[in-house]
Amino acid sequence: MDPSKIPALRRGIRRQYDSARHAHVLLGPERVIVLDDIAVEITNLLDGTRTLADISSTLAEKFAADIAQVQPDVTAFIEELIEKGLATA
Amino acid sequence: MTTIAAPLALMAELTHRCPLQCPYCSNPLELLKAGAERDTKFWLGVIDEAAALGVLQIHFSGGEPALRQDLPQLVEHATARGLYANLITSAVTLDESKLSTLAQAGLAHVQISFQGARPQTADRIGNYRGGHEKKLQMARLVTQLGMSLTVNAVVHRQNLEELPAMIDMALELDADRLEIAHVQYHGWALKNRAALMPDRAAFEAADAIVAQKRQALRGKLTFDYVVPDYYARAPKTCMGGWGQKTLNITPDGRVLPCHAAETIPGLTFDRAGTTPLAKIWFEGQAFNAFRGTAWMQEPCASCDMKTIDFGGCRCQALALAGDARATDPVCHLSPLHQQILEMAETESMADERDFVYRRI
Repeated sequence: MDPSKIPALRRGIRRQYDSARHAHVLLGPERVIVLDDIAVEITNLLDGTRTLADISSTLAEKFAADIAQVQPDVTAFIEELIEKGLATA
Repeated sequence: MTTIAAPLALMAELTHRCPLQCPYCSNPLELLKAGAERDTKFWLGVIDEAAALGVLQIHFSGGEPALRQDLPQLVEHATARGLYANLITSAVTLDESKLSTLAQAGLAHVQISFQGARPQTADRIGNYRGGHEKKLQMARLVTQLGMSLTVNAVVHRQNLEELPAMIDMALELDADRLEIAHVQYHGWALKNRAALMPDRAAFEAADAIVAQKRQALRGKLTFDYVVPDYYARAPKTCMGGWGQKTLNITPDGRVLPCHAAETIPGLTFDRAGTTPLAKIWFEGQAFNAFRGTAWMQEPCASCDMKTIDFGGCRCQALALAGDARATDPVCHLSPLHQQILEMAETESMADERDFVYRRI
């Protein structure tokens, strides 16, 4: 995936906190995805203005991590969301 | 004792009324009339209880749920309670004003049924003239209003050749998801089986088309594919397991583990509004009847797949094997498997073209 692409949640996909399961979830047609802490951080930044590169550098900075380590994980997660029909880029 | 997880989804069958008369309708043969339907207050209460129980998805279904005047109110209430609101509709009674009201109420996803790709085919199967064109118009509005769109295509012998055209139609409509479902033979479909059963070659061709298109369209169009299980080797994981994920509430307020569960004798269905939904889910007789694996007979009881497919569909086991505890006869391990396969192949050759249409 091109780092200059701007990923966003797909039309009709919602993220919310589920108080029954004490976790953030992504909801879509026939889809319930429970998000872990990292997934919550990434989806927080899917605002339709940030590029994939921006998202990776923001997270690298926030967690004082090496961007070379962060970017592949972020890319893999977003690609998975796109494959599942939950995001677009 | 194993812990019972909270349900994820509620199927709210608001009504059995429907302008379409599809001969494979999943509703029971004995349809409920308008007078038996529950009121707005009842459904608002159900939504509150479902949300408290941990349900995340609500499917407004029927019949045709859009025939209910209170649908926008129910959608709004469900959304306010944190439920993801889905509308399962024929779309023929919708219009621009109704759809935008629903979008404003918080509706997230609309699933529109299509009976074919050609208007002549589709309108004949639904027995509703002009239906197909109306569905196309409404599908375009759904995405314009920012809601997720599923094209639901039920396929069978009399429209399977239009499968490639239905995939193109979903793309042309900019759908997010395409559900291609071979008819499941319960209720009306069981009655019309000889007019619906595809032959094996046609089913294998359809399988190959879906596999190829699903791969080619990854990330653009999500495919959900329900195979014609008479030709399958392993049975489907019906409902994601009995009493594990889903509750189904009938128009008159009875709570079922699946929409066809009423065909199984000896089950007791509690009423929402009378018994708390949580009590029905965790303790209800019908929900516990086939929950887990303790109820199983051989060959299910010692099968490696028993916690994967849970022995298949209980309603189908009853319909075909005469015993709801039997292995679903579509499974290759069932002693009836060969007989079922032969019956499917014989029926697929039948001359039968006429339908018994669904009528109240």
